[in-house]
Amino acid sequence: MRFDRRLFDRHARRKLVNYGFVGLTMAATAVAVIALLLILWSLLANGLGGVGLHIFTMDQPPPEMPGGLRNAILGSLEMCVIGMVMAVVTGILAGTWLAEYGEGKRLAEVVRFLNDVLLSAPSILIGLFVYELLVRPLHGFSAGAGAVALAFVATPVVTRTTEDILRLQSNQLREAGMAIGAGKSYVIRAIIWRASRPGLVTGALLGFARISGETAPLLFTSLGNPNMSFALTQPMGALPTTIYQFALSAFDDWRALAWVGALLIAMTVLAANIIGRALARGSHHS
Amino acid sequence: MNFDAKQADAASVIVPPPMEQRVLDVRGLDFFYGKHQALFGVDLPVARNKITALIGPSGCGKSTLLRTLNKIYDLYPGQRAEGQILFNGENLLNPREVVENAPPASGTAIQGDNARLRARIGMVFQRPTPFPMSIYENIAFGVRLHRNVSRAQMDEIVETSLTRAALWDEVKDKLDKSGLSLSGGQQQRLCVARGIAVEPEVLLLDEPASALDPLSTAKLETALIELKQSFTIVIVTHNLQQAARISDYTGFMLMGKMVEFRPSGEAFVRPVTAAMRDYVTGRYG
Repeated sequence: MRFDRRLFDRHARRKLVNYGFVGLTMAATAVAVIALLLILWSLLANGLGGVGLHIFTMDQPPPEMPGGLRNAILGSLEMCVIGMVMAVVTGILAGTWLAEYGEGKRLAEVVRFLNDVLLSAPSILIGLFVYELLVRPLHGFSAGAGAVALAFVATPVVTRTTEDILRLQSNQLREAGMAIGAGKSYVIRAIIWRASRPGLVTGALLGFARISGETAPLLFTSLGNPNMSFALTQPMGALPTTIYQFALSAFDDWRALAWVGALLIAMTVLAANIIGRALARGSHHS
Repeated sequence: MNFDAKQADAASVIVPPPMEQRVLDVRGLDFFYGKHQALFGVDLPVARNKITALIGPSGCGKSTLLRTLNKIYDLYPGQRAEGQILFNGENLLNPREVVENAPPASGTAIQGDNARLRARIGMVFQRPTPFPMSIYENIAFGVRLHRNVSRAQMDEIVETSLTRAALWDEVKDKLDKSGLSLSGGQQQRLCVARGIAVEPEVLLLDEPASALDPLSTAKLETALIELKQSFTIVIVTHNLQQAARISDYTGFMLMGKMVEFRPSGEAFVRPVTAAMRDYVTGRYG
């Protein structure tokens, strides 16, 4: 009898602990999901009303004048695209080296570690670094410096995903390419990269999602510009910097525009993440 | 009975094909994975236009031996082979060595050029490894590495290779579809077609049927027997019936050594070493 009761106690206790643990994890998940939903909700509630064609056709206005966000949207797009081109080229090459040539090399371990550090470095430090690197020596804020700063933020993301994706390819595929007489680098370019394409695109999209909302690296580099400009040597408007400026202002219409800008960024990031993940899932099935 | 049993205790028996029939000749091969030695003085004479099967329990070194023949192990630092792999009048492991009594040169010198070597000794792997491109491009990929051919010539090469691999009828209407869209058995025959499109002299197969169902296996075997007319085949297999069905010579390996190498008919009917007899009758271990 005593033996039975102890057994029962043990089962009951284990069950209780299990319920407790599952409950805690569910609560934590709920907190995260609710926070995300609240953010989306407040963005939609405050921003959706201001969305209209004028947002995309008019530049940002002086206080209490009608206007849109065209210069900021196009500026963000230009700097993000240029930054991504730099990040994708460097990141894919670096990730490829880590995955395909770095095996067992001390240098690869160091590079991987530094990349991870860069991955979690505060982006304001990157902004300051590029300020010292490009803005001060060239005596002026510029969109080019902004794009470089964004590239510094996105490169570690692309490097990391590239390495991970390439490692997923089977060694037999590499051997099959070599066994037919192709050299190692040709096998990587013609077979391994092609087999990894959905994953590489995902990495790029995640990198893009990461930088499209970055404000800190731009504050010290591209600065912001209320007028439309495409010149890489001049300061350039961008959504995050405009939001930063407008949201802190005392003017209601500026703050309304800031909400719209925030909504646009959130939607872009959401779309990039969803597309990226869908592509990654597709690649596992093929 | 008693006498036979005594004879069967011979440590190793090698009955090689005549010298003049050999296209590839391995002599005294040692192989190392880092400090671990996996092959010990292995001999493997490979006869032209025959199928040579390598059998033996897992870990006996048969795949290792196969992977030295096209030097694919070269990819991995720390793996090395010592001894002689004679092909085309050269020792593949030491291009400078002057070798006598080797299979004569049948093409341009290889001289340590792995691309040239692998154009002449092709390989098919255990799991199908189609490249992530169309069926047509899978075949064309290897051909382009070694030769410049016109579109019309390429079309012809693709058709002949797929026909010889017994796959043409199944894929002729979807050559532009991804090689990955085929079934496992078809993918494996695509890999065979890809290998022979380069017109190698020797084709190495590493357990090519182990991931296939019986029907696909039968198709692959039929294709291999046909291919013997034009190519020399070395196949590693766990399937003894398969080795007995299709091979002309069989090498039985155990713990990194070649224990018995004889014409397949004799070897399977009356293995002379105790080890091989135990293995083929299922009493090994």
